[in-house]
Amino acid sequence: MLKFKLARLRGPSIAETGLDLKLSATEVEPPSLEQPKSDKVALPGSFQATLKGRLKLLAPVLISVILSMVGQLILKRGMSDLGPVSFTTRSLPEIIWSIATDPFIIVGMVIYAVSVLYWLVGLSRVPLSYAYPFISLSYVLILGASFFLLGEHLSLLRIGGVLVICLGVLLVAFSNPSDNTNHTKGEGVKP
Amino acid sequence: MSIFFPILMSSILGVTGQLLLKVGMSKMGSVSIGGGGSRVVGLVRSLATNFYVVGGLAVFGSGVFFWLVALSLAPLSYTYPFASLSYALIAVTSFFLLHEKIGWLRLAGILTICTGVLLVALS
Repeated sequence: MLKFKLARLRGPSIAETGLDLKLSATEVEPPSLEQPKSDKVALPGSFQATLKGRLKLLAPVLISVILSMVGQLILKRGMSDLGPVSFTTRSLPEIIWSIATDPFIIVGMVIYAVSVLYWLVGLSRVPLSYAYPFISLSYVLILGASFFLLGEHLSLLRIGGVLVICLGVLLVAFSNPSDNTNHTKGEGVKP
Repeated sequence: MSIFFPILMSSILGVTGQLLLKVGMSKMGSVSIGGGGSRVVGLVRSLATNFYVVGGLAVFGSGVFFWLVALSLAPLSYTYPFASLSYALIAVTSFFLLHEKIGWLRLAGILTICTGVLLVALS
């Protein structure tokens, strides 16, 4: 219980931990190290080890959420540059060509594809009901981006809602992540 | 056509897509993205030939299509709160279909997130 309380105190710096994760993610160890009993993770004694274990476990999921947000922002920039899509002034092939050759769209799509890759890596390690709630962190990131990048005014209700979401995400993060799926363990199944 | 049809279709297809992705990735076992370009290419190749992963992405994509239809029929402020529906649906379907263990802590977290999403939607 003490562990959990400490975790909640450390909790509000979700954005920071997300950034830390990028560093640690570049040195993700080969699966051979993690393979043995990787479905029984992060149940160590000390709080530090717990936090570290959870962050490592969640790294691909969090990277995916951050990358998809970055991709969305770049896609939005590209589509804003192109202006409203009108089917009356231009033909469909022309529209598709202008979208497909826009540098912002291309970069945004590539980043989005990488985020899907990380999502799949995340799904290979943790249960779906554990990973999926972290998608709601996009609301937090949208709030940050609209405040810092777009200079929008934030309503109290929206800030409150995002804080409630953060609390929920922390609860999920500290729930037991061991994968208890009966149908498969994936061993020996060649894709 | 009722506005609920595309909204529900997008939620159901989105959740179905995620379930398929999860089944596909569980069959592959724990994978890693690090370790150089050739391994990433190998990973992408094994993903692209995984029936569940490809199917899941296709189903997920068709869910996005219905979401766009919903957006064209109703204002974003109306469709937005339905996003919280998928969090609840994922919890229910992972429990019953994937037989994942969902403890009280995770359940409370998911319900808290739904509340937060609704608050954001009201703002």
